[in-house]
Amino acid sequence: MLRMLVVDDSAVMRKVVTRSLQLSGLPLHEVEEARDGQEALDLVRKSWIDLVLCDVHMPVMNGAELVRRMRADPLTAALPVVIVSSDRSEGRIAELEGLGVRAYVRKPFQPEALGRVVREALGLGGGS
Amino acid sequence: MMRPSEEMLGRLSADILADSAFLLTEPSDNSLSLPMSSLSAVISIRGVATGARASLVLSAPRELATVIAADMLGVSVLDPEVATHTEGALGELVNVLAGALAANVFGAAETCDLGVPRVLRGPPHGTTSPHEMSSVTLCAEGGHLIRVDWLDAPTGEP
Repeated sequence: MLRMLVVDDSAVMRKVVTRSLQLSGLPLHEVEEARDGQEALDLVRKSWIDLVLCDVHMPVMNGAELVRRMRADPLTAALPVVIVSSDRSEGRIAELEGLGVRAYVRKPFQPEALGRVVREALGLGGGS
Repeated sequence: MMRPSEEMLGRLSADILADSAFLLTEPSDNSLSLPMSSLSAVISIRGVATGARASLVLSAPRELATVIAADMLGVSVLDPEVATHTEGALGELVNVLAGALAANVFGAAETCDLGVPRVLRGPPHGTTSPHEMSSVTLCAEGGHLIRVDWLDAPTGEP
């Protein structure tokens, strides 16, 4: 059973991503939410999370800084991250891929596509 | 200052509205006004390398913004959650549109910073010179108008 963390300053987007995960058929135990990178960092240091889905542009701490801080901490260094963002610039994508994110999903996305990306990021086989 | 053409602005706006909010639109007359009950979502865009700056404004009647929120959340427009998230949904929509436009206007190689969307009550004010903005008006189902304005930042503004 999986515990996911959805990080986005938009409450609507957190719900959209959560709903997409719930509809994907993944064996979810819980989907936690954070409004910015700092909240997310606090959460991953206190809870066992299997995968983080994260926006880029957020107040307090943005997505790139969150990933950087996670990579610097042995406890969270290997935690898979999937970026879900409206940012389409190659520089941003390259920056995040350099930090070892598993995938970059551009908004708007199809819910089925997000489910596939998450499965691949977790190394799970195809499913319903 | 680079600025999207009205053709690009209209095309990308229509695509994002369709893909994000399942809203089909067609071009309308830019001289038509939105009602005073409208909401306007504003987001800043900044090219990191060039320092180029702009603002994007997406305006829609509150009634249509409610439908957009319901469609994005996948719930009935009568769901009590919709009222809570109407402004947030419009803010998220302008965020998605800004990302798409920035890549097309500044080029995909330019890294851009997008600000935190703000939602204002009321339609956009028409105080900016036509030489500093690109605008389109789209018509959605029910005859509701949606307006999208790309505004260049004035020279010298911090």
